Amino acid sequence: MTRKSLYFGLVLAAAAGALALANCNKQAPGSVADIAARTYVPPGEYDEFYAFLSGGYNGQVSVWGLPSGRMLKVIPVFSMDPETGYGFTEETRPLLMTSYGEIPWDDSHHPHFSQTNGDADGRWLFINANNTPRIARIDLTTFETVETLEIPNTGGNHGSSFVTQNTEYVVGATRFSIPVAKDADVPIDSYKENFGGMVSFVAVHPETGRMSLEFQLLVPPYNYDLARAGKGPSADWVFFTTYNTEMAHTLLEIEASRADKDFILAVNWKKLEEAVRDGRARPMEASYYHNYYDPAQGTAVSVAKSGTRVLYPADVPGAVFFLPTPKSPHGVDIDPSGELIVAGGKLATVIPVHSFSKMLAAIEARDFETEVFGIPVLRYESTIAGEVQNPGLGPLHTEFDGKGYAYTSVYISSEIVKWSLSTFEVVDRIDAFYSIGHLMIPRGDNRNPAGKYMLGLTKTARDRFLPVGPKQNHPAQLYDISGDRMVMLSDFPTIGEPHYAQAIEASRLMPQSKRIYSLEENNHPRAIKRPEDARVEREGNVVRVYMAHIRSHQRPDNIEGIMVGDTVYFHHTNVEQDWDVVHGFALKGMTNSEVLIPPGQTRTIKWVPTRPGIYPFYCTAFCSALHQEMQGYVRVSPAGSNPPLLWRTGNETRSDLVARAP
Amino acid sequence: MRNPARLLMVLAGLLLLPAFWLPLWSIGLRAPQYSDGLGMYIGIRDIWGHEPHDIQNINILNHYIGMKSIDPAAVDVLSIMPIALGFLIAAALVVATLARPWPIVAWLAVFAALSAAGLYEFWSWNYDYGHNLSPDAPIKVPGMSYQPPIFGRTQLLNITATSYPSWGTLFIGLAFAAGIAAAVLAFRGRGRSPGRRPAPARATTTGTAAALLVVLAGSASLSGCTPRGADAETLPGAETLAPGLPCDYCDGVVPEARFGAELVTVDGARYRFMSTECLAAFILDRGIQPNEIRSARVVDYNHGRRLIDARAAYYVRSPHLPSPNGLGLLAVETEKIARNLHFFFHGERLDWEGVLRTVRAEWQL
Repeated sequence: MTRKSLYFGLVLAAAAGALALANCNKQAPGSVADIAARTYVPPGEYDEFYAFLSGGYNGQVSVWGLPSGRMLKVIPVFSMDPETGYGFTEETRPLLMTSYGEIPWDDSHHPHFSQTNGDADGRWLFINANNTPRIARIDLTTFETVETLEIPNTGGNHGSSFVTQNTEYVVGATRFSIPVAKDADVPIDSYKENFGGMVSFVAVHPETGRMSLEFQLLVPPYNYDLARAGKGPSADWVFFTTYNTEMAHTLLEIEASRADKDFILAVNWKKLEEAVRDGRARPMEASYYHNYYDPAQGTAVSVAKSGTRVLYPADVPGAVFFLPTPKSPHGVDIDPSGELIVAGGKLATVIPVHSFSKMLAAIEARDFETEVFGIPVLRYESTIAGEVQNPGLGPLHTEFDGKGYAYTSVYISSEIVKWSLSTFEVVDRIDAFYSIGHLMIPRGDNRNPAGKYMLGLTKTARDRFLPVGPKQNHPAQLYDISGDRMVMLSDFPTIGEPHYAQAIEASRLMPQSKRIYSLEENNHPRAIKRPEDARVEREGNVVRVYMAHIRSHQRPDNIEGIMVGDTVYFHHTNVEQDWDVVHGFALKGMTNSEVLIPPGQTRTIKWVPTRPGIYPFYCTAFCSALHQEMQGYVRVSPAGSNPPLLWRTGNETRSDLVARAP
Repeated sequence: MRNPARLLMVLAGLLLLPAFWLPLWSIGLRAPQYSDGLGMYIGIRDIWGHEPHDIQNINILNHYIGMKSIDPAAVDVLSIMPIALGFLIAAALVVATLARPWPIVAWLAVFAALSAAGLYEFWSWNYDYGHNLSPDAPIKVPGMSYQPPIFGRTQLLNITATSYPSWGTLFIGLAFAAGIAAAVLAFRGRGRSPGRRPAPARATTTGTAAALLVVLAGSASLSGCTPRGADAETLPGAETLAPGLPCDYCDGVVPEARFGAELVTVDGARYRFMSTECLAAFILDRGIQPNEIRSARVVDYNHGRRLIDARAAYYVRSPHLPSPNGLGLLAVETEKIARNLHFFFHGERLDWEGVLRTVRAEWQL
């Protein structure tokens, strides 16, 4: 070996060594460290997105941070929550009121953000109740449920709660067709004669968000599954999927799967609005409840309503059409441009994609195949823009990344397929664990999606996590969709059964999140603004305790003069104005619930004591260093003993003896 | 008196106006649970929070240690100070019309006296709140007082308190500077013949610069004077280890007056340490025998600034206690205080032998 070649070899070796060293310092793409780093949010730092997952049969909404998958909060909606007292306190119970009485539960499926110009605006989150038809509104400054509206003439509000482009309406759609007449007593096998479907348009007040059932549209007795409003050019339209166009009323798994095609119902809501304005809507008997938090009263109120305005398709020509679509379609999702209408035909072998402009042209040309129940049926070939071939078995629901691609969840083959909106060709596919329902891309249903991550909401965990018995929690998988290929980042259990979800940039919600309820603006008639105003009052058999909570005592903390037979209302006010300083109240023998009182709020819990004795109470929230000292006693005397009311805090004792003196 | 001096006096009066609204001083409190911090502004007429509810929240926290509730309505001086400020402004305008140098000096003297009185009032208010603690306080740490500093930063249990002048004080300082500049110009102008045109710009600049220096020096000396509070009075002839002294064992420095230790050997060599841990480690490391030690002393954490015999001191060790070397080890003079600290912070109580054992075990010496 010449000296020159020796030097050359040494230089090469050194270069190779340096290269190897340099590589050591980077995480190889796709390595565990690289994947882990993409979901890692260091302690004290924030996630990039808020995700709101429906709770399904727990009736709640859970709030998560993405990409970490950390749970931030559970918001009770159609549920009673013994943690916060939601649904137990006098202020929140009205939100659970329906025309069937107080219903403490529901099955909440599809959360949807309020939108401005087709993009989520972070003001409110709507969510449907599938069982006893309702729509709720969550305030995204307090992350609390502030309104629920019952939807009458509806058999299961599944195709809900989707909003139009500027939140003019949030829609409802009956999953089950039911008899059109209120409280009708008819044979079930008179389905085709007596039953009907209903889609509902709930107007949303642009400032307050207050909902009102504006009008309903009577539709054929099919099952209505999901809905989406159009955007951009299609903003005046709402699309609903139907199945069971066979109109079966028993053994639907067979009977409702016979037809090769069902329909997408296309509704021009602007024209319906005009028809209602022209007085073409017919009054229909109905009773339903509208419940909302009233800031002026500091509590939720229930208002019983009756009657609705119903439009019949024949009364609104040119506003209602059917698009034949294979086969028992689930999702109907509009691409960011507002042109493509993607159906998830869950028994279909392709993903059919309709064109909105072709639909308009076909309507213009009266290119109708037939007419059912007075509704023109467009020809499939006239409206279809393309069919995505080989999408897997059981395509359900599609969202968009804003970069020209669609992502469809596929239930039976348990995968997600990514396909091009221009070629309708599948470009990538990835497994889901297991049996995916909906998927969600942050604002992936908006005009401008934030297509960086995707969350798959799967139905069974099976062997994915440490086993926890025969019933396990439903998982979610986070994918990175910023590159050409989808990459699975993490897999984590959720709570309830998230059917659908919404996510939005943290920067949109963080600045508006409230830290306290202003005591100054607390208009609750039984609020006390200063600890000194704490007192106990008797009105016949009703005893009202106006209790102040402040670190680290309740005021008053000794109460005497209550008798068996009394109804006691504890009106708790947390007089603190410090972020996250929450007090709780629990009382031995309380047949109601514990209650948490956030700073500045007033919450009332009702108690009917049945036995005399001394009842300790305490603060349930670890509020301060002397939280364990935050306690007191209620004395309950036998019925009829008529003891004087007495209440005490430290060396300050008050009583109603003076008032009782002759 | 020339026009520039007149104008400067008017300017001095006007510069005082913002002090009616702007805060003079700002006190900030930071604790683990309050990463955003709480704080209050002290103004001429009012005391208010950095955020709307800070005063209420400070009061709630303070009640645990027995401090009085801060109620601006109950602070008498807040009704007097605006009058004094109004007087100063009116006087500045009157002096400007008088057009004579000595009234300016008199005005400056009154100004200085009022400022000093205001500062003293502020200090004594702080002192009162920090020291007159309710005997019913749930949390009592013997010997502990909670006076925030006038200028600077201090650690009060879990809270780091900082105190600095705020915008209002800047305007007051500028007003004083303008007054001094006016005086300088007025005196100079008296010596000149009426016909000659002076060089007002330069004189003003020099005068203002000089005045600013005086004001800055004055405020520095005021803030620099450590008030003789109860601590100082109970500690006649207290010896101190100045913060910043380099540690003779590790690479650190004495972090603050509450920490530190000192060793004097029989041969007269003196060593200083940033913490009790370093003192113990030094003894263990060098194998120094008890008969080689003339004195080994540690700073009494509870009082700060006082050195006590390390072998007679009481020690508390807890992960919740701060110590510069991270062993959570603090020295106090009496067993009662050690018991108290232990009650609040848990952990273990140690004697000097225990400290040596702990340091040997923890640092594997």
